[in-house]
Amino acid sequence: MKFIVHSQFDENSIRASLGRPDYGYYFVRKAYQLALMELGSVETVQNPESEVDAIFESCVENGEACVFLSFAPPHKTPINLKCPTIPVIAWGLSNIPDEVWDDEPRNDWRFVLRKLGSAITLSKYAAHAVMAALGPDFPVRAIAAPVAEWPTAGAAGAVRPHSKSAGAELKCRNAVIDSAAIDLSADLLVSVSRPGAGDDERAPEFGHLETNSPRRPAQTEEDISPATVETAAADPAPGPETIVKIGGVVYTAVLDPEDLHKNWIDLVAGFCWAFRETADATLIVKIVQHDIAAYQSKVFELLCRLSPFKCRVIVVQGYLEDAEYEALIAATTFYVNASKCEGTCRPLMEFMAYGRPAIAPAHTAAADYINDNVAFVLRASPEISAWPHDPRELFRTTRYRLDWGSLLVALQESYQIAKHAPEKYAAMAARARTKMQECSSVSAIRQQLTQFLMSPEISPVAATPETPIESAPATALTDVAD
Amino acid sequence: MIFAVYSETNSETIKANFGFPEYSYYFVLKEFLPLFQRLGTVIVVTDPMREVDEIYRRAAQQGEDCIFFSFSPPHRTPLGLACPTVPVFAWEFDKIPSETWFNEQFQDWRFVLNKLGRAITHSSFSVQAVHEALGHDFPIVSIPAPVWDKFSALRQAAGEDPVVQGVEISPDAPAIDSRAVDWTAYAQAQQERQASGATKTPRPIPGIATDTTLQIDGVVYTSIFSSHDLRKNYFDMLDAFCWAMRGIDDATLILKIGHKDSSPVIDMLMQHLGRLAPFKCRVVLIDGYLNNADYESLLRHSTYAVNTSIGEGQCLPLMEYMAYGKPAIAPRHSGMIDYVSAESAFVINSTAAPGIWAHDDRMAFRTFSQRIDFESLLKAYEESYRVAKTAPARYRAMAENARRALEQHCSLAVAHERLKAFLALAPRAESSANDYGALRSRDISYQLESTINFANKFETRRYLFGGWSKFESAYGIWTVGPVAELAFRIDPKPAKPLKFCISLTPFINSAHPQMSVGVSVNGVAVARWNFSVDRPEDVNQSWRYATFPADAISGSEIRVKLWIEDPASPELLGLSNDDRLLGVTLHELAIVPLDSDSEP
Repeated sequence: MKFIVHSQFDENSIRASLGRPDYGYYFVRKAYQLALMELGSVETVQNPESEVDAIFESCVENGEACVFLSFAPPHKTPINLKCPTIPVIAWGLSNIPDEVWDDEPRNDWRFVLRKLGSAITLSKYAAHAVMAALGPDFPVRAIAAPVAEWPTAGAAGAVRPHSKSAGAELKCRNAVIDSAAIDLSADLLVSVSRPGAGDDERAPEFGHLETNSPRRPAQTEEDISPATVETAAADPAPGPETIVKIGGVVYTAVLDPEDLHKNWIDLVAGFCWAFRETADATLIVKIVQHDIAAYQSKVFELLCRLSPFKCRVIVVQGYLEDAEYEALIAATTFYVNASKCEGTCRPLMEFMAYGRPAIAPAHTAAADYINDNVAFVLRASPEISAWPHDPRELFRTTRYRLDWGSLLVALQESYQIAKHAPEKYAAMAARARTKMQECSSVSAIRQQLTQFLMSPEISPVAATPETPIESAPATALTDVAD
Repeated sequence: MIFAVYSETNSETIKANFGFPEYSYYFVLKEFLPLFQRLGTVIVVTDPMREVDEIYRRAAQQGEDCIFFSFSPPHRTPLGLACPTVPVFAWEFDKIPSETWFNEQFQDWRFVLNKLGRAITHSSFSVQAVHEALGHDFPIVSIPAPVWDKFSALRQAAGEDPVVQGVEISPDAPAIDSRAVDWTAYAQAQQERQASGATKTPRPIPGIATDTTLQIDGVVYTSIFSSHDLRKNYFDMLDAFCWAMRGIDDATLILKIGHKDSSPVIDMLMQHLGRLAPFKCRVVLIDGYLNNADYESLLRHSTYAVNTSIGEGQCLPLMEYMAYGKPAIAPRHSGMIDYVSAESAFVINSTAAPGIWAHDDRMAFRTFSQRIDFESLLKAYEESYRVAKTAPARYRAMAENARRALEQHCSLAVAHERLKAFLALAPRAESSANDYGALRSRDISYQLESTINFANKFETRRYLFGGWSKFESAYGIWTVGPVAELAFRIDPKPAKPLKFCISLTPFINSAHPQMSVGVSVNGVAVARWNFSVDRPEDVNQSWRYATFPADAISGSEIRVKLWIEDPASPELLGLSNDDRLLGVTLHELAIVPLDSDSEP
């Protein structure tokens, strides 16, 4: 069996693309490959339109079954390939796009999915949304991206509710902000006196002064002044490696502040509020966004608005290598997520797989693996929203509005357990690992994939030499009446 | 007894101030007048600092008591009068302001209340907030504005049917009816407008017809608020209505939005409606001040009053509607705890959210506000519609419950008793054993010869006083307006002249080719820097210098002012919609001894 796989970003482009639309599909593809490798051979393509069918045809010649897995939202998935194509979709809203805009029929996902004939989603929630649009018999299966087992997760000392001393050392290439190292104050957000208070003051007389010229021009540029006054887009080189010592109870969130679904303001505000008087609580926010300038001043402003607080907030920037990422997980007591919706949330799954209990709502994709046994569950209820790629921004769907008060309670309770009930913490951590093994270990996912790909609904993939692939009903459900 | 009473907005200025912060204090004062008249002589003042003490002295000469009731939040209540002063204020959050900013002691309400010794507010929730801040012995009484008698008397014997038929409303104010809008044309115009990059479009918006005679049928939901008051959370109100009622053609939401200039808000509301379309229900926006007859007509023909606020001091319109006998759709929090219940309202759930004191320019998170549970708001709309259409008996029972609850809450009789009780309370003596109103000083200590980088260190803002914009990461900080001030404290005090070295980029370009910046230190003019597009090598991050003479910097602080001769905004120059009056961007600076080579 041959699996052709594609995501918009690859090993070379992902570092500079963190935070761009659909960047997460790269990580989903990488994870899927772990399971696919055990089922057949995997071939990655750069340009599906030109590469996929050639591979497919050579497979047909060799009598090998072949399927193209497109790790992209349906409107970006090719629909006219000869090769059977299954889109793998990350989606966290209550319904799928069922309208056409910009004269692009693919914006109506029903059109694409009917043409392709089947789909994989990363959550049951998204699979239900697909079935709600295309009928309960549409071949869609919820199969999460597998999470590799952490070899060290079961090792002695891996369960670490909190460390009494400033034990853990975390290497950061770019600790952009460490609240413990700066003097944050709400007063920095305004001028000292009321604006306009000194307006009646007269300017001194400058006429007698010689105008002086600089002796040392710093730069000479063609464009002498910014036409639009925007922050110069910084593409920072990796900063110097710093060692951050962390102790106490450590909460970690991995997110992109520009992604409003991640609801990072609620998250940071909740943490600083809950631990205003608690010096040994630390929040590490690992930013998945390569453009520091896009968010840094917002983070400063938010922290100033929340100050004074005794707890500590560390914002870490940049792509982490596997070992660094694992060190971050190891140093963490709880993963915290306050999202309005999730297509999958890989960091949450990875931390749980390592044995880190969570603070998270149990909705959308997280509903598949978050419950009271493994997490402090946040309350949330539906609110209206727009499909994220719909430029018309029409209200057509729902996501979840966080009950922020429940975040405060969850943070305080989790802290108490980490500090005073290590056995409860250990049990929760163990259940989190087990839960992720059940629902997203490589072997569990391999099994789910096999079942789905070999099922009669997905007949093109199950093609045997006796059943020519060309005649397979890949477009049997094609009905583009609307 | 003489009552001198005051609100910043008065009968002469209400139209001009309509919808501005504190405008509603005028309406509250109006409702209190009959109450004061029952207990003494009322004198309405317009300039308290000039008038009140005069009234007080005259009263004293005649052996009469006199109290000044200032219908204003504590930070806007006159201090220092000889006449006993009582602030009458609304408050909607769980914590009252207890910090200072802009070097103004009165921003700390504890400072003001401690001085005045007693106060009146309009809900038990705010009484509790004041008690928590100043101690439970602080004399403060909740007296909601007594609107019950007037509004309950407006109703005819049995009240109206919950479902209206063929009613005509013709308010003497502009109105927009969603039924008269061509939403397809509107959406097109929106897209063109986005494509052109324009963000501020004046009305009229294409596809919108304005009509002021409205024929209304069905179930009518009404809400009245100032369009500039974001605490009212009116987008939730609108969004949930259109979502819940999108398939229902006889449900109408009437938003009576008051403000002198509502057009930006109407524009935003229209954008929301455009994003919600298509919907069968109807939304009417009435923009402006209604005369009494129109106000009553709107009330009479409404089925329900709606409130989706994040916090309420009391909410006069809701109290008026409920006093008349209109059930509500409202959350039960802050000021509404005292009169909203499931007997008289479809209660919306809400939970704590990070909140700010509404007038705090720093927008510091210091208090809880309330976040509406959107799903429960949808349910409240659906259930209330069902009750109006199919359960008139339950509707009438709720209406009756509303009247009774509001009678307990805000009848003249209740207010009369409370005011009498208040007058019997002695003011608490001012205490000095506290830090109320403590001014917050900034650490502006500076070590000679060190370089301050404003492009990558947010905390360098501490040296910036007035006239600066936001921190722009990796770039610097713009001056805004004609003067920008910096301040430093150097220890030990410099005895010799110093050299000021600063890296700047001026806002100049072909449309605005020159800029001149004057520099003064502690009031003494010391330099003038010119920038010009003709000398491009001296523009971007250009280092400029000034000498601070020893006698100008002998004080405890070095205050440097940059005087921008002709600041300009990108908007004025047609470059973008940035309306800041920009001068120069500050990147880095250092102060060194004049004879030093160590400049950056």
